[in-house]
Amino acid sequence: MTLPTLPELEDSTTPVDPEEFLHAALRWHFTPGTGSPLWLDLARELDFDPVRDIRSWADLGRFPDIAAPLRDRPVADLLPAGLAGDPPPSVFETGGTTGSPKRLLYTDRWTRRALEWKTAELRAAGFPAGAPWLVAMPSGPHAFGHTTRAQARALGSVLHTVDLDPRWVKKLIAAGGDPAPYLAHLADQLGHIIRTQRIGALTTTPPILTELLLHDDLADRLRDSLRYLALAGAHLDDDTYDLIAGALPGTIVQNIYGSTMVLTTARLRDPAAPPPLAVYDGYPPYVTFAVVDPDNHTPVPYGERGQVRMTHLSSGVFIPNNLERDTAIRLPAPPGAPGDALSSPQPLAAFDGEPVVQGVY
Amino acid sequence: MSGPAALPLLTHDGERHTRATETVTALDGRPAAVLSLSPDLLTAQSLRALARTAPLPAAERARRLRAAARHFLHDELGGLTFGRYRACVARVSGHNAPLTDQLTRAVADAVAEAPDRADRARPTGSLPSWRQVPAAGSGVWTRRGETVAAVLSGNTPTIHGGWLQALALGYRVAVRPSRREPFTAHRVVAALRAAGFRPADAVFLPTAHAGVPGLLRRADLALLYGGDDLVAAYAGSPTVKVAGPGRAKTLVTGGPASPATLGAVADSVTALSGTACVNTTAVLVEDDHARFARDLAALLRARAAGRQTTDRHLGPRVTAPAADALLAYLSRHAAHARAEIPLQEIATPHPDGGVVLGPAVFTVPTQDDPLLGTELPFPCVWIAPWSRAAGTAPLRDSLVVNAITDDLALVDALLDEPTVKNVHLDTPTVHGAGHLPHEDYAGTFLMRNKAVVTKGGTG
Repeated sequence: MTLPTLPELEDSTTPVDPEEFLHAALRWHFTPGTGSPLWLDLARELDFDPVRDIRSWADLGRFPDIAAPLRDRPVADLLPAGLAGDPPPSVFETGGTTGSPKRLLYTDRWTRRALEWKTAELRAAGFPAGAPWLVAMPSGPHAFGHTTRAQARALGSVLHTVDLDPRWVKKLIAAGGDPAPYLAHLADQLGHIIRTQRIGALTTTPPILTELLLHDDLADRLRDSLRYLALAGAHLDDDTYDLIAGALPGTIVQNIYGSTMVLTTARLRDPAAPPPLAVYDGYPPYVTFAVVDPDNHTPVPYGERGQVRMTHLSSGVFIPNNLERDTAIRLPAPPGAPGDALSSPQPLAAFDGEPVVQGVY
Repeated sequence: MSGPAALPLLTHDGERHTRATETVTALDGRPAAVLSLSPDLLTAQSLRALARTAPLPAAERARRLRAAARHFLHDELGGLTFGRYRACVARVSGHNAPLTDQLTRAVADAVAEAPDRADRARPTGSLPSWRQVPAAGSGVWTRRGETVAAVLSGNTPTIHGGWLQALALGYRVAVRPSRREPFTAHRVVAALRAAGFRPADAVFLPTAHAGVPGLLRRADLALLYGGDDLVAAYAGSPTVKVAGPGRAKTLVTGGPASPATLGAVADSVTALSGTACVNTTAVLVEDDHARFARDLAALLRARAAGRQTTDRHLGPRVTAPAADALLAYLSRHAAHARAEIPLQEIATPHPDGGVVLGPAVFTVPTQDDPLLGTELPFPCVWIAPWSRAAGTAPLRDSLVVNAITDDLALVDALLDEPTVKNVHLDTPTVHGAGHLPHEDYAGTFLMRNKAVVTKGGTG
């Protein structure tokens, strides 16, 4: 028997036919010899045959939620057999906002592809390549701190970092604790860097930036040197954006929206658009979004708010149908691309009965 | 009917309309206001500006407060005349027309009299300023901090007394209004500005529920009003003063109650629409409590008769869903109590929208019945038997106890009881005045005493 192949392209600009890609991905992940133990096991429990019965992108909604095995199974079970000869993948975990974390494999192929996209987009956005970049985002088990390090290298920027432990902060807040001392601790550490280095780019969360802007000396330093600001990890409301834009005139501000579950952040359709007007695209056919009614999981009309569903299909990972803990307004995807585009993403009030706790992350 | 009023933030940096808003819904279901909501960053920036602003001199504060009271009553502020403001309050608060008028006018008194009311808390051993200290030295009354956050709830315009006293004492204050009735807070802050208070003396910062912890974190001290959950969360904090449910009670000892006593209890149940913490929640009766309950029910029914569909309704006007929820609560929890007024009689749809609730009178069999601590936001009173052997035990955990008794030892015991905060003697629990402590004086929480000794004296 001939093993299937997945026409992943080294060059993200070459068009891929979405339907062909979908069927190739299904064959790849559901054929012994190329698929992962996880999906080959799960396929036996399905009441349909993925290769035969999934005919369209909409059919991916038939797959069950796979959060539980991503939390519980050894990661060796997640690796497709077809990648056996590749360099070992990186393991990253979700934030743990809704219980114990899910583990995802970032294969070498995927990491290289995503790095190429992201660095090109950062340049297009006006990122000051070569200028010192300060990132206060989680590393450790979280992807963000690691992907930004690779991006800094590719952009020729020196990277300064301060680490965050979002899980600890969420635990603290959920227990009724006060996150202020932790925020102050982060601002202290960031202050040392901002006072001594000429920071041209900053990536952090809205609550941490808020804390920094309340220190006049730090706000002055940033106003003077900062060209690019990315906010991620927590909801950025439009009023806070207005205040930030007023405090840092001339700085490009991007709101970064993504999910570890699809191994990337969304592509900003217009990298220079202010966050209230931003449109978030996927990377079709690898990463696609849908906006659905939270109750029956059917698409909401364009222009209306619904729950965000994300899909990731690549040689390393098959996430057909992941409901995010967010809502967004549904917009049309670019012509020819499957799925939807998003605007104005924001957290769901609660997900699966367990309250979603936002913190500094 | 004009469209809903826009209530912008009144920040340290002036008026600001935000993109995030909340619609304040009137009791008839129509929008009454579009309320701007402060994001955390702006709240923090405002509090920082407040902390950096030196207070105006005390005499100037007092003068401007008197002027602000006049602006409150007579100016068009935020596009609203006093009459239109009062109409807005009436549409959302549920108080009847005469009470709304009385309460909104009382706010002006709270503004003008804030310095005098605050000063009532000053110990006899402390002077208001070190500049008055004689050679022998004296205590001087000083602020414990510089900024106060007032987190308000509920629908009684007079809730503003506490933070106005803080302002009078030189604090700079951030007011987070009730999102049910934000009009009064907005108008007071606007009146203060019209009277020459600077934007960083007092700010009006509505926030979503999630904005409260950030506000509390950024202020030195906080005055917080809310339910048992808030009381439990902040009871141990030395920098937060929490005002919770009152569970006020009236005790009637001796023989059958006189008509005057029944009248006073009826007032205690229905004044302020029966929604205030000082309304009598429980009456403990030494004589025949069942008879007292029947007589009180008859009196309250007579007082309510013919009024409930007018603008002088007795009891608050609430939304239909809120009325349903309260009635359902009563059916679930009060099944063992005897309703002296049939439940179907205590909810009257009002022609202006919503439902007028009350009065309700229930008899419970024992003085330790848990219903005696059930404070509901309408005229609803629980009547229980009381015996001398029980003493003050059934009267514990009360903001006010009105003791209608000749037993002076019992009065002593009530004053000694730490969980009874105020004692009235044959005076309705709802009787209050600006110069009296409520949950203690605000100044006790806001101020401290420092010894100042000067060589030769300054006074």
